[in-house]
Amino acid sequence: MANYTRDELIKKLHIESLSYDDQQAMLQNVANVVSSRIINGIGDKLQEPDLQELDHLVDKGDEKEIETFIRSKFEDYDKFAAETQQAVVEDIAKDIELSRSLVTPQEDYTAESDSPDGAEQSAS
Amino acid sequence: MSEEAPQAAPVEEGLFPPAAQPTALETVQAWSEGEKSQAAYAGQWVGDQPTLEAEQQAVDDVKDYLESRPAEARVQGRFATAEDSAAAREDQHYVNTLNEQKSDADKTRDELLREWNNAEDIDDKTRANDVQDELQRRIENESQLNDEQKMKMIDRLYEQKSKLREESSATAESQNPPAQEVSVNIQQDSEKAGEASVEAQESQVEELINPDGPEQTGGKHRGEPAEEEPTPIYDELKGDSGDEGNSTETKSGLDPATEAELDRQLHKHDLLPDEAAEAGDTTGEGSNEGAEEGGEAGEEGSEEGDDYHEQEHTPEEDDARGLQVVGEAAPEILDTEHALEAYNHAIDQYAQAKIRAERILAGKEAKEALEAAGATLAEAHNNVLRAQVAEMNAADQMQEAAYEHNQQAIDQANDERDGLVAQRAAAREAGNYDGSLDGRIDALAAEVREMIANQTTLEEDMATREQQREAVITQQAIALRDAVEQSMQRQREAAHPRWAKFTKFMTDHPSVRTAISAGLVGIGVLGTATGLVPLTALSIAGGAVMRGVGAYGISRGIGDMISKRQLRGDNLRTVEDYLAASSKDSNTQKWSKRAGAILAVAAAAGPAINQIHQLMNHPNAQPPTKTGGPHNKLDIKPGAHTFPWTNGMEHLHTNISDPSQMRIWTHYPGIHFTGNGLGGGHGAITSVTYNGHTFHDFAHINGALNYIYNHPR
Repeated sequence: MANYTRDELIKKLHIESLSYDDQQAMLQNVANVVSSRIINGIGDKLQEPDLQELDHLVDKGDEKEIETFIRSKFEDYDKFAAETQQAVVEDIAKDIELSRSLVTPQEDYTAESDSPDGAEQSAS
Repeated sequence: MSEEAPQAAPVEEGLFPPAAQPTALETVQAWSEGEKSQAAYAGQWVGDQPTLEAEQQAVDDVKDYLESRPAEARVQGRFATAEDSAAAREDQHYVNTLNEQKSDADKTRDELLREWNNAEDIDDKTRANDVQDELQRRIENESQLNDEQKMKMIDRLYEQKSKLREESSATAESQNPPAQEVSVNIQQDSEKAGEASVEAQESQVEELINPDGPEQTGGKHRGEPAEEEPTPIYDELKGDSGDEGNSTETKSGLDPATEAELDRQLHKHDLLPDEAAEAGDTTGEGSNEGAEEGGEAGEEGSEEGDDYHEQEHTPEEDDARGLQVVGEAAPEILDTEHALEAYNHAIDQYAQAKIRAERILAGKEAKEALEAAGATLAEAHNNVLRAQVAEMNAADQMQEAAYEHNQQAIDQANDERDGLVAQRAAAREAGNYDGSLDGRIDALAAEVREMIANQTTLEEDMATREQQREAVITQQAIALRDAVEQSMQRQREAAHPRWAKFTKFMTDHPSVRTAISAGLVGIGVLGTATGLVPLTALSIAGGAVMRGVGAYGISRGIGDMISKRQLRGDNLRTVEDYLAASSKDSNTQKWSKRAGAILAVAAAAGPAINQIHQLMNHPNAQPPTKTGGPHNKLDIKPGAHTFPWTNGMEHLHTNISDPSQMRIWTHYPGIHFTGNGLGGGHGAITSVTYNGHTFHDFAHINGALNYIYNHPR
C-alpha cells in the first residue's frame, strides 16, 4: 500500500516551486480531503443499528470505545484508511494531470524580456 | 503545521501503528497528555465537554423510542390505517410538545418547508432533521413514483424551499411578528390584496413548480377541500388539475419534454446570468475578433454604460449588466462559473442518490440512479477542469495582449516625446523657444513612467506564470474533490441525525477525528475539520506577483464576484471605464478590448480577492454583502496552522495560557474567542469571531492572537 513520502507527494502534486509554507498548506488540504473521505467511508459502512450503538457511545463520551467500535466495523481498518488515502491522492493527481495537459503552451516570459528602461531614460 | 509534524507523526512506517502498538487514539492522547503539563491550550480536545443540550436529549430519547417501535406503528402518511395514524399521532404529539404545537404529519408541505428554513436560520439541526424526515416519509409513501421520480421530487422540494426563503426575506424587513405567525403572514403578504385564500396561494406556488398548468392526475384536484391534509407530497409537487395543453403528459408529469420546460421555468429567476452570459459571449467573441480594431461593441457598450449609470437600477439589473460587461471582457470567466454551478448541482444530486441507494429498501432503480448521477458528476467534474484551464489560458492571452499593447503605447509616447524634445532643442538653438512644449513633454514623461510601472507588474507576473499555474491547478483539483466530500457529509448528516451527532462529537473531540480519519499520517499531516487551508500569501519564489495571486487569481476574483452577485456599483463602473478606455485610440491607453480586460478585472477584483481569502479560510463564512467601505475592520492576517499555544510560544514568545495573558486576549475589543479553554485553563480555543465572521481554524485563531499582541491596547 502506498505510503507517500513528503517529496513524493510534493512531486505528485506539482508544487515543487512553492514555498515550504504553501506546500504545507497544500498538503494540509489534501489531508483534510483524505480525512473527509474516510469519514464518509465510515458512514457508508454503518447501518442503522450501528448508528444507534454509536449514538450511545457518543453519549457516553468514551473516545477509546468509539475508536474501537469504528475499527471493529471494518475487516481491516488500517487497510481501508490507507486505500482511501491513496485513492484521494490519485484522484487529485489525475485531475492535475488532466488540467496540465489542457494548458496552452505559452512563451516563457522571463526577467530578461524586453525592458522598457530606454523609455525611462527618455522620459527623464 | 510543519513544526508540528514531528510531534504529530509518531508512526514512521505505514499509515497506522501495528495492532500490538497503541491505537491512534492512545497515541494522540499521549501527545496531549504530554502537552498538558506545558499548557492547557495546546490542543482542542483536552477535558470533557458537554455534548447535547438537555432539551435535545429529551427529544432524541423520545424519537429513539418511536423509531424502535415496529414500522407499522409509525405515521405512514395518508396510507396509514386510521388506527396506526391515531397511535402514531399520539406519540408524535408528545414529541411535538417539546418543539411545537402542531404535528408534523398534519402540516402542509409549505409549512414544513418554512419550518425547515426557520430551523436552519437558528441552527436547530434536530428540528431541521425532523422536518426532513417527515417530508421524506411522504415522498417514500408515493408508491406510484419510481425512485428517479422521487428524487426529482426532492429536487423540487429544495427549490420550493429556496423560493419560500426568498419570500420570507422579502417580507421579513417590513414585519416582525412572533415566529409562529411569520410563515402565515409571509404567505398572505405575497398575495395580492383580497386573494389570500389557501387555494390562491397554492395556485401561485404551483404555477412556479409546474408552469404548464396543473394536471389531471390521480383523481385529486386542486380545488378539492383542504380537509384531506396532510396533502401527499407527490400531489403537492406535481400539480393535479390540468387544464392546458399537455394532456398527453405522463401521470407523474415528469416526461422529458415537460421536465425540460419545468426546469426552464423553475430556473427562470436565475436565467439572467445565462442570458447575459450568452449575450456576453456573443459580444465577447466579436470584440475578441476585432480586438485590434478597437471593438465597435466596446464603444457601444461604453455608451450604454454611460446611460446605464445615470439611472436607478435594481440589484437584479445590476447583476445582468455586470454579467454582460464581464461577458464582453472575458467570457471564459463566465464559462467557468457556469461549469462550477453545474458541478455543484451534480455533486448534490450524486450525494442524494447515494444516500437513497444506501437504504435498506433501495431497489434497482436507486442503484441505477446512483450510477447515472455518478456519470453526470464525472462529466461535470471534467467540464470544470476544462473550463478552469480555458480561463487560465485566456488570462495568459489577455496578459500578453496587454503587454504588447502597453509596449506599443510606451514606444509611441516616447517617439512623440523625442520629437518634441528635438523640436524644443532646435527652437532653443534658434533662440526663439517660448516654453510652449514643456507642458506636453512633461506630461508624456509622466505617462510613460506610469505605463512602465504597469509593464513591470505584468512582467513580474508573467515571469512566475508557470509556478502560479501549478499552484492554481493543484489548488483547484483539491477544492473540487473536497467539494464532493463536504456535500456527502452534509447530505448524510441531514439524512441521519445520529450521524450528525457523531460528526459534531468529532469536531468537538479532534483526537477522535484524528485517530479515526487520519490524513497524511505517513508524513505527519493530520486531517482537520476546519476546511481548506488558505494560501494567504502565494509566495512564489522570485516574483512580486500581482497582489500575490497573479492573473489567475484576478480572474477567480471576478468569478467569485459573479457567483456572489457582487459585480455592481463601483466595481461595475470600474470595469466599464477600463473597457471604454480600451476602445478609444488614445496615446496613453492603447488597449484593445481584449487586452484591457485583464486590467479591468484586476481593478475591479481587488475587494473580491480579499473576500476569496476569507471564503477559503472558512468555507462556510458568508461573504460581505457589500464591497468596499469597511468600517473599523480589523486587519487580521491568518497565522500559522499550529495549536494556539504553540503559536504563542513560537511566534509571540508568550505563554497565552498564563492567566495574566488570558486577560489580555479574552478581553480584546472586537475579537471574541470561544472554547472550553477560556475558563479554567484546561481546554481548547475552538473559534474566533471578528469583523462579523466566525472562524474555526487554527490559522485564524492564531492570526487573531497575533493581531492582539501586535496591537496592544
